[in-house]
Amino acid sequence: MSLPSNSDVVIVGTGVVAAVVAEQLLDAGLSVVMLEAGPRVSRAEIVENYRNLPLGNKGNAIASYPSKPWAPHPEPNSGRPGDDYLQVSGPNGIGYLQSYVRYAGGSTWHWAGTSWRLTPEDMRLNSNFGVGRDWPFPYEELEPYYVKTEYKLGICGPSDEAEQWPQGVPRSAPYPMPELPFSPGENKFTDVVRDKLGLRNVHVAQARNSGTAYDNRPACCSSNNCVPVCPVGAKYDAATALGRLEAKGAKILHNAVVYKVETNAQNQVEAVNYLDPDKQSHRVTGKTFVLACNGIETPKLLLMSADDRNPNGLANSSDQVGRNMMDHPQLAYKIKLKEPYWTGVGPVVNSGIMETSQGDYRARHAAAYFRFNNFAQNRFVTFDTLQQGLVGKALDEQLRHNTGTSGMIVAAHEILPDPNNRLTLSDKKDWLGLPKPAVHYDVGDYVRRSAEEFSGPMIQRIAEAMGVLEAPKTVGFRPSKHIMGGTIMGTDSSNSVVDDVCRSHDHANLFLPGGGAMPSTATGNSTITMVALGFRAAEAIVQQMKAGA
Amino acid sequence: MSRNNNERELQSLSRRKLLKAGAALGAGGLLGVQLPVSAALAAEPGVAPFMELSRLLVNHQLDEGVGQRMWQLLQQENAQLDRQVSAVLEIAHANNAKIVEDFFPAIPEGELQDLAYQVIFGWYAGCLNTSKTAESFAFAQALTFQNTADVISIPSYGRTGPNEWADRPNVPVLPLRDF
Repeated sequence: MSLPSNSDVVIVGTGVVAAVVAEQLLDAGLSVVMLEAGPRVSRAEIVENYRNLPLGNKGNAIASYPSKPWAPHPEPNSGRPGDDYLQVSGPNGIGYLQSYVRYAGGSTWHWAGTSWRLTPEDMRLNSNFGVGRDWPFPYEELEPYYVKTEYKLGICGPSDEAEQWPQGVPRSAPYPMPELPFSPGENKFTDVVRDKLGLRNVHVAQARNSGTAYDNRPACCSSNNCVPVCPVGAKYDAATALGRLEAKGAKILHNAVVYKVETNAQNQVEAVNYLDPDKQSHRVTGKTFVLACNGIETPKLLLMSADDRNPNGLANSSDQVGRNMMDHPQLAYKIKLKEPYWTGVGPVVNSGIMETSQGDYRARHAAAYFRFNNFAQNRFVTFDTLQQGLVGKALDEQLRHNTGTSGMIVAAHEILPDPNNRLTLSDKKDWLGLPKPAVHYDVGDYVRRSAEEFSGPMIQRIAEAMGVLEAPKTVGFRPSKHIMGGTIMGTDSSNSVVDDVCRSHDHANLFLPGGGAMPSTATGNSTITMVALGFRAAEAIVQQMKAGA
Repeated sequence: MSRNNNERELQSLSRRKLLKAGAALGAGGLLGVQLPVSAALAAEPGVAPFMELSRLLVNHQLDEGVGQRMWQLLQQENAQLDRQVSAVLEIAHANNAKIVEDFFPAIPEGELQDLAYQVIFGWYAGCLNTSKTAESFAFAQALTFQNTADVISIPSYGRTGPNEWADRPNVPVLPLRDF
């Protein structure tokens, strides 16, 4: 493919934020080129990869996406190119061993589709509770972009206001599709926590077609495989949008690893440079640039692009690029139940207790939300059961019993932006000779206090209410794979990277929409907020380009 | 979201019809697809005794395509496979065994019992060990998934029509369906 020169907008990344931004720009009549580091593959290939994994590796969300040597993504303990790609350190380093894929379509390939909105309080942590950072604008300004996101991705959710999240906050439009039904286990869990603990387990708003086709994709048919891949595309993933973007005129280059963003004498971005799998370098010029290539890859690329005018990296006069790395630190607990619940019908994450995530306690410790995962349990119980020495009917009964009575409950926490939780460039190099990303990570006392005083005890109460054989234990904080904070948003250019439309404070034609911009995490998954920020950024780009800035 | 009763009854009637049709068609008795069978492997002298033993060790309808693949892997790692299969079969025959409960206690501890457990493991897990790099020879056909397929999804295989899994009762663990 010949290289497009001087496109209106060059977008690095083809994930959900990149795809949504691209479509808004194309619809406004701008020319768009998109650069993807990894390969472009068919859904069938990923599904076959998954089905051919041995049972002992079926729980690995990344194993179905082997990384290419030139575009490694984290693949811990695999012996593959991504084995030690992401270097982690610090008290909770292992809690930042993220999963993401460098494939066309990005990490929505393997997301659960969970789409909780933030609440107005979530965006004013500092004003309300004296911790963390406030957003530079209120919830009311974000709300219309949430609606755009819900209609673009096809997010289903309850029409009953009492079941909606956030509660008691008006929506300007209903969800485009109704909520998905619960599994037998989720029905039972909902009853138990309501009757014994007075807690409300509500339907997850999720980017999955409920009861109907939407966006030229079919309805969910309960394959229970959202992670690692929806076999039919009933769940939104950005790969489903790429063909449509091309039909609208986008040029999409894959296997194009951007390694340097170039500025001109006015300190505006002028071009990006990428390496192909033959290690040949290419230069792509444009007028406006969008980096939306993941919460780790975007700050990494900015740091790699340091030049004489920007010695600490692009967009980094504040020294905040790569700092404030955040996620939703989660504590997962395997449980053995006295009675069968049966998870594994419908989506893998289909409900949650969100009401626990709000309250004045946030002045002292982190908020948390709780959920009962809905994965089919076979892969977790088969080996142990087979090793009990049973045969015949006794084996079938025990296996069935263990599958029905096993489960996992999870506490997902918010975390505060801490400049010491920092991404830097490792001195270790990848296959192309580019630096690997390194992240130092400590969940901090705010989160630890929550686990000690709030979320840990709450998990035990939930487990007790469900009827467990023994008090569940956790292996400690693990990532939720919701990467946020590395290009944080704010009004003050001395302590933030982007402004309220995700425009770099330092370079007026450089936009960094996505999770990196989020000043607070709340407890729910970040994707819907990242996409809302993408819509907002796209609007600003169109406005800025039409004004000839 | 609730439907009127007539509609529900009709749907449940047609579902029953569909299930009956499926049961008649599915000669193998497995839910989902069967693996193709290789004529060359079927002619291997070790395969038929291995399948005979498998059917005695596991009280399910077995997919011969899965059995062939497992036999190939077992043969690669165990030079004594054919001899051990014959020895366990002899014990089964001596006990007039129809199902595993009839003869399993008579299999002596050691290599013969180890083999019997390994064959059972393979049919249930679709691989021969717990390693993350084990070779997989079955997924949907693996009996751990078939064993619960009446209640929950086999991941990546569609279960129902759109939102048709609503309002299913929380089924008890026991009694078992008949295999």
